Amino acid sequence: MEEGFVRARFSNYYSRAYPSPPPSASSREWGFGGWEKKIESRHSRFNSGEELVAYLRRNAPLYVSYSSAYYEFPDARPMERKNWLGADLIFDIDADQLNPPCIEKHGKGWVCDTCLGMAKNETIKLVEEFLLGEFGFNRDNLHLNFSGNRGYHIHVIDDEVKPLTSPQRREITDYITGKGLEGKYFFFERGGRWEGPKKSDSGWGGRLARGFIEMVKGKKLERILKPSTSKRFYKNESEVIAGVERGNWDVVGLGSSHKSYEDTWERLGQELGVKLGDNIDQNVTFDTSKLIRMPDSLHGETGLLAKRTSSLEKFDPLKDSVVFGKSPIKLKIEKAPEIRIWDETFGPYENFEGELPEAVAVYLICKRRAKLV
Amino acid sequence: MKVGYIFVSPQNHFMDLSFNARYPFSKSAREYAENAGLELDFGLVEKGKRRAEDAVLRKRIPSIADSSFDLESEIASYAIARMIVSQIGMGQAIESYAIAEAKRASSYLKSEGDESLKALAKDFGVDSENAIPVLKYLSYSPRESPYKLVNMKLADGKVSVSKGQLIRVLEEAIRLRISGSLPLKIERVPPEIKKAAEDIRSQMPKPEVKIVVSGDRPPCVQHLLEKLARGENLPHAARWTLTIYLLKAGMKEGEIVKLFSTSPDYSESITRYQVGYILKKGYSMPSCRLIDSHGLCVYKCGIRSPLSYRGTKTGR
Ligand code: SF4
Ligand SMILES: [Zn+2]
Repeated sequence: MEEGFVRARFSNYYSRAYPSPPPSASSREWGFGGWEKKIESRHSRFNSGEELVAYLRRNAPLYVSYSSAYYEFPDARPMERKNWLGADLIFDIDADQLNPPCIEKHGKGWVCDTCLGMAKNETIKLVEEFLLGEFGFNRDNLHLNFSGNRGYHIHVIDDEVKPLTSPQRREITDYITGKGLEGKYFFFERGGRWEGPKKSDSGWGGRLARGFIEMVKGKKLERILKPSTSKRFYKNESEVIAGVERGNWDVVGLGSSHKSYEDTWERLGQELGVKLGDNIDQNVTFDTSKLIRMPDSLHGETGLLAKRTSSLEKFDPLKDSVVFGKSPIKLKIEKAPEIRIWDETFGPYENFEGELPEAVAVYLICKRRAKLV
Repeated sequence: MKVGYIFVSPQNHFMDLSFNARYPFSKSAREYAENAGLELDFGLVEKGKRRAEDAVLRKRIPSIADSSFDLESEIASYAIARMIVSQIGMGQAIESYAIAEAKRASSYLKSEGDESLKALAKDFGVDSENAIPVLKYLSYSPRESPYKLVNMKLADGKVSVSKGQLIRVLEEAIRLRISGSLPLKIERVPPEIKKAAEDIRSQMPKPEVKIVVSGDRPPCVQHLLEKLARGENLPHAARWTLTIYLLKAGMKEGEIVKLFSTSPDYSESITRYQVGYILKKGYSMPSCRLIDSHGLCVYKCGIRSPLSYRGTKTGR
């Protein structure tokens, strides 16, 4: 019954909306999901964007995904026969990967303003600091959208990026996440002194220096150093900071013995890097055979739109991505944490039975927290 | 017999000619060779054969003496060596050849002035001597931890490099350009070329050690062993990891050295030295995380170290 309800809403939405397909929609592989699985079928192709939209109207799939890759034969199988022509570069930020403090309150898989805010900040860091600042991508080639559930997706659509191989993409994610960072490449002996990165250095060097200073100031060094060592630095705070700002790590005493601190830099790298979703291996970025949610399609786990946005700062996912209305729906809820939709907070619920606005009902039903009565 | 080259290009400045002779894979050398032409005579075939032989069998192409006045035949020998290597018909020969050519070029770059370096960098689309556009960098940088992007200075889409780093990156770019352009498809292969290729093939070492393909090695190690068996070149981090693993697994130093003999740039003395060094220093096994950061983890077994890998079967 619930599935039918959700499908009817989705179908209604697609019949009035015209989600604009990604560039080169006909060179991509498409996949669709239903009530049980996010991807039930894949290897589909469409000859045009119109054909795709017609399909969405007819079938109202609960999940719509496409390949970041472009193929000559998107519907051929097995994968090798599709003939890979290139791929967009995709990043996925997911609130669950950010260890938000609120997870204790609402559990994994649920969201609130705190964790969605963290995901947004992480996305801004990735875009501004890394993709625009360091990688120098053109802002026009970055396409951002809410994932429809717990985070954000960034698509880099750029002819120069398309041919990147999987190991090359991996180098990019390693850079962004700080993986494989080794302190020894940032410290040098010069004139009997250990010089390290300065605050103003570009790339990871400067980030390490700035991050280290922040940690001294915020008394957070224990995350990367032994408590006793950390204490020593807190005591000489001003001296330590002045030294690191100039790249003089002898003052810190870390430089000269940097060999014993190899883990420290790796850990600092991990602290300061971007936490990408699907943390185990950042699959969507380097495995170019993966499918990614179509921007401006509905997400079957929330009923929210995976909405495109060009101004992330002002974007409010629990308002701007809501497409369903306020007509009352009768529901039964055993237990559900609270959720904000529009400017209103709903729940928490326990053994609730009553009417809720359509958008909230769709959300709770998709999350499998509510049943129709 | 004629294969379409005659070296008649008097406008060419000697400087250019010497550049082209040192860097015969450069665009300017190719243009030069296209405008010129060459008669395939016995002397040239011999010279080309020596070049291919030096590269494939001895892993090193001697550099031309600076006073060499026969720069044209130097360029021609490159063209001929490529035909011969293509005819050998083994991936390993192509790999070895490309590595030796790249090393030869990089040794010139190290000893030469900045002008040639600049010119060659430009040939690969790198306009500045101290910064490489990041996407170019990713396609050419060697897969070694000092060159890992995260350990480099990156700003505004450019990776800052020292002169030494630029040369190393170019060496890799040269290797890729050459190996990517081979084998050549030649319609009618002159018999002299066929014969030269056959001659070299017969001298190539057969892989001596049968590589044990057993099921209870960690997938990453297994993968590296298979690559070795196919005669592929392993990056530094891969050799390092593999050597430590095999030592820990109880393999003898000499056996490991032999194992590497199938690799295209194999040098027994260097390998012996490296394996001995690792043994002497008693390095500990790199963690799965570290291995993964080098892009060498192929499976995600869910363990911390390849040494604790216990096969796919559980129990026992
Ligand atoms: S998890 Fe460890 S043992 Fe398994 S493949 Fe990866 S690196 Fe090797
Ligand atoms: Zn939360």
